Amino acid sequence: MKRRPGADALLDAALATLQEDLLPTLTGRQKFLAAMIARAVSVARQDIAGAHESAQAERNSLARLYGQPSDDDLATLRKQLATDIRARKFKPGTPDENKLIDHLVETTAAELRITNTKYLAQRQRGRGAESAV
Amino acid sequence: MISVLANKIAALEGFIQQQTQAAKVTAKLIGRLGGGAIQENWALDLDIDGTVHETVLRADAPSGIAESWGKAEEFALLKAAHAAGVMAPQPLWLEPTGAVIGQPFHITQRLKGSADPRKLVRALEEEAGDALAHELGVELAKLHKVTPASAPKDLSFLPPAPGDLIASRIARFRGQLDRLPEAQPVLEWAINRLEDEAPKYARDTGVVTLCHRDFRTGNYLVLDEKLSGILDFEFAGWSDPYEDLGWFCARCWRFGMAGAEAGGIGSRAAFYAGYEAGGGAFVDDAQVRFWEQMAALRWSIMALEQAERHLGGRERSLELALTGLVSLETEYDLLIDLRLPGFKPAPKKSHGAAS
Repeated sequence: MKRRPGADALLDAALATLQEDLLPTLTGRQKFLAAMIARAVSVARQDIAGAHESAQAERNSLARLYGQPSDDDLATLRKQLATDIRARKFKPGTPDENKLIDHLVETTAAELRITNTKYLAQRQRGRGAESAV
Repeated sequence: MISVLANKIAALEGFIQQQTQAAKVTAKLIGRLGGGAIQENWALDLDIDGTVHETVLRADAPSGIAESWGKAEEFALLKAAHAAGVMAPQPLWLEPTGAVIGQPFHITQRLKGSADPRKLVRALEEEAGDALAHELGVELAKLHKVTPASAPKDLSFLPPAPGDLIASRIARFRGQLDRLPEAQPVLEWAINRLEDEAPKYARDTGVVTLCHRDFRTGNYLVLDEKLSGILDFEFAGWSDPYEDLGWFCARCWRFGMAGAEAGGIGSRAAFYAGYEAGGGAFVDDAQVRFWEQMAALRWSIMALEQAERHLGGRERSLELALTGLVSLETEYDLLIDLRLPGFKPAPKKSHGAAS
């Protein structure tokens, strides 16, 4: 990318300004709203950083699950997976279902790494965690 | 809406005057109360012939969610709960037409206390938390004494509980997923899993009671560590009482205090004991745990629906948008908890309080 600052640097600067300069001066509903903005910007920042990688990881995981890669977009692939699950194509207790669960756990964990790493870490340690909203 | 409501004070005063036949009514808008993703709640002081009444005016948010009742129905539910001795705010006046302030509303007594769930779960020590869980069990048992046979006529709008409640809930979940724009593989799997487990937990006792259907930490008021009110009856209906017990104990409503399994505030034992002491039936822990998973699923889907209210352009709200992200946490919980035998974590060797 030629342009500087890029999207990531702009979001970082916006977030730092919000958290360090603005949030400490606010109270009540204004503080609540600013904290929500900070959270939204922070998730968006993580999303930009990891989007390509996590999409590729999900594709690879789906290819392993179905035994073959596909050129369809992720939304279509997810829709197909949801349809197959509802049609009971993964029989409970079978190796197929185990593979499915591995896929679901992996992709959900990848999303949580973007939206709430703390929750994921605490759940993986077997403890509860605060919901972020 | 603050400006809208502020401009309608005279109309509001006229309405109260008409309802009370008072000589003089002065209304003072104190401010918006929290917890309003679906509802808008306003603290309102009403001076009626020289006596000040502290009240809450409750109106629908710009876009409600399909499952919640309108103001007239909620008013009837509050009356029924109040009559059953539940610590619900006393319902005072209903304006069902929208003619006075532009949307239907009702006014209730304003109870003291805080409903903030995050502050509450962190502030309570173990003993006070168990005492509160016990109190909540007692209140829930009182509500569950209301049955279709004993209910006031006011509640005739409530549809009968479906014969096969679990199957009906599961069918509803799938219907809700069909209406969401994105496919939800995790939730599809969770629905299958619960459908397969359902026969073990289906009860043929036919016990149907008035259920709150959103009875959880965040929807009751606490003052000086004691229960001071039960709120938010907008989802209430005829159901299996275990749906309420499970909703209260579900992990998604413990606000980070996973070890305090009753609402993040206390122990299951204290909550169950309160329920039984309040006249509720013996609490079967296995049933509660099944319904906790049903609760996680229901909440996951509701969170996605809340986000769609924003994303679909019906109501701009960052709070609603962020609620959509919470679904991921509950999906991850479902992936772990639905695979545990009896949905029960293996006992830990050392057990800390409320961690």
